[in-house]
Amino acid sequence: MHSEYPPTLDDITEGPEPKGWERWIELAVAIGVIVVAIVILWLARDFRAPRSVRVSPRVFPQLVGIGMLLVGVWYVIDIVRSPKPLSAGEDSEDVDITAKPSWSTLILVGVGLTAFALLVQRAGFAIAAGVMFAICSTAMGAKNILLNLGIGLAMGLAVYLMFDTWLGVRLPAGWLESVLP
Amino acid sequence: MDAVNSLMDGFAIALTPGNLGWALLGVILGTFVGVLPGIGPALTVALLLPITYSLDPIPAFILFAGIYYGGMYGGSTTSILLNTPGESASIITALEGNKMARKGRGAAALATAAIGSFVAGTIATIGLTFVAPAMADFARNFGSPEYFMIMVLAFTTVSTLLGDSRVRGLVSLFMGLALGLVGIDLLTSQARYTFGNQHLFGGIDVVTIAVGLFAVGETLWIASRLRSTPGKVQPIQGKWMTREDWRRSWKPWLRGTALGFPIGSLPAGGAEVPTFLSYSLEKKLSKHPEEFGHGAIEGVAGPEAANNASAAGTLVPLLTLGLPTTATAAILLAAFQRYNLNPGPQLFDSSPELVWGLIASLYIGNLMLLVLNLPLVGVWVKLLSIPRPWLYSGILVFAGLGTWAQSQSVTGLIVLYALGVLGYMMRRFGIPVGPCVVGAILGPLAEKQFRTAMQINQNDWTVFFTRSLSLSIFLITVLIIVLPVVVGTIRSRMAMTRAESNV
Repeated sequence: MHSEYPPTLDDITEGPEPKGWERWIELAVAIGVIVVAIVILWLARDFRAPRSVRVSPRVFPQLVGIGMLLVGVWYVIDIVRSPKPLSAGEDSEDVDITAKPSWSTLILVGVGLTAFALLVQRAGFAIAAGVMFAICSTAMGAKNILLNLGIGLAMGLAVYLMFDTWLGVRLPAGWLESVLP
Repeated sequence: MDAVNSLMDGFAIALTPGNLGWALLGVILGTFVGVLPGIGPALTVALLLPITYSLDPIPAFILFAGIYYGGMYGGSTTSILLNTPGESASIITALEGNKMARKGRGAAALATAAIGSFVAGTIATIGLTFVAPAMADFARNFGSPEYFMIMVLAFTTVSTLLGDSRVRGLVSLFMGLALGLVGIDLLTSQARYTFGNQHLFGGIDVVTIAVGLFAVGETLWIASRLRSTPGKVQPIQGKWMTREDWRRSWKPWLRGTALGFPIGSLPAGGAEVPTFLSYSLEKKLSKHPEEFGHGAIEGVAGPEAANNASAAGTLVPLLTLGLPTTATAAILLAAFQRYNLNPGPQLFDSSPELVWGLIASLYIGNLMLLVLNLPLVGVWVKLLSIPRPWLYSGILVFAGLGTWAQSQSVTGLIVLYALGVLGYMMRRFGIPVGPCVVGAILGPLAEKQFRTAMQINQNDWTVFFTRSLSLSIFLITVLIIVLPVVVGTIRSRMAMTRAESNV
């Protein structure tokens, strides 16, 4: 791991201390919780019930909204008051929690996901999955883009055949419609 | 013995060749995803939910249960051979087990984990066999107020007992509850929080929530900070188990089971607490406390047993009360809903073949897992060398598949990606994901029970506090919230006085 060997339990959950601007983002998340709570409460005003229904469809959303509002305020206070940022980030097998986040990788993975959403209906599941696989795996560091595309297409095709043809889950065939069973 | 007879009937169902095949497929898939980083049993069951359209409930649940148990076994392999744990319940295994592997005792660590998991899983399944019917009988006294209160109890424990920040657990829970509000209100058939989009009328599907938070969120999180040099996989060395290893392991196995099963059965749930308890207990009882932290076999045997026993324990509240206390249990509840089955006391009456076939298959699955994991562990280890870019891109393909199969719409994908970004933020800022999934699935059920209780009692909310059973559950909830705060304050006061008296 990232500290002295042997690690203690604390080491495992301890991440980098967020930079100043990252604390602002964390604060924005907390304020976002409050905003969502207010939206929930605001929209709940319009829910109406006929007389036969005694318990209005408003009550439960209002309970959730109020609870969320309180938790949001608590969260803001917790972030502002805690001397040491708690935002460790979650550990995982493949995460180097001490590394700087790579924004270019993230953006490219986003491009891959968008490509899938744009292609899936027109080009079909197999092709869309192949393109997404190629973009994302290249972004994450698999260098041979043609090999990545090949693996992606093979995987997309295999998944299509297994789920659509064998298990009866409907997936778009797209451009391969005339070729696929 | 009623339970024994029912169990025998269950074995008659589980031992048919077809169902044995589903159990085998389940444990293989479960071990597979348990070993693979970045994908766990909750996500796997979520991705396989679409097969509920074409498969009967009994084989489907035998398959899902196999995945659930298999994931537990597979997870320990990864944490022993690769230092970093995938889930909080495996932290301890990683701590001691990896140390053993580095000292050339990897084989013994894997063996004590697998045999301990088998012993604990089997004893805990026996526990489940007898506790579940008794619990179901008790739950027959429950009305809507009790069900609502026990859901509130589960919300409280799931979000505040696990993880290291209570406020972040609660933030996660309320995010889930908010997601659960979206969709048509069944009682008045008006749309709530759908913003006029008809794809949202049916609510945000559980599959999309689980896949978004787990698969997409995890992939984005990993993509942003991918380890440039993957962790070193320790070779499996040494003898499997020496006489000494057996002597030092069997008591921790039993003690771990004794901790794991009862705690797992409580509506509090989670494997984290019993594994940590088991570790500190073994350290206290050991004749060699100095070995702890440097590869003590008791430190693998006890927590691994506790982990598996609590997994079986989690099925008690799930089957008898319809109450999920972990993310995987929440997904299993969603699977029941697909079949219009409601877990609870009635399930034992209306679908005994399903309940007992499922329980019997757990015994069989455990045995299969022992065989799959001990001699074949070398095969599974090869999975750890899959190049990560391919692994995570593949997970994204399956995420797209699961969501498309569910929603058949680009709206579904957009919701999926939005949830993925949410999952990324949650990981970045230490907000646990589990409470969100539990909240999203249990929230609508809690609302239903709440409204039924109010409707029956002329809109009088005191009904939750005038019935003794409901009130007791409420008081337990309050105790769980208040107790840690009080204990914490007393402790820090004591520490302060001690510090002052030392001056």
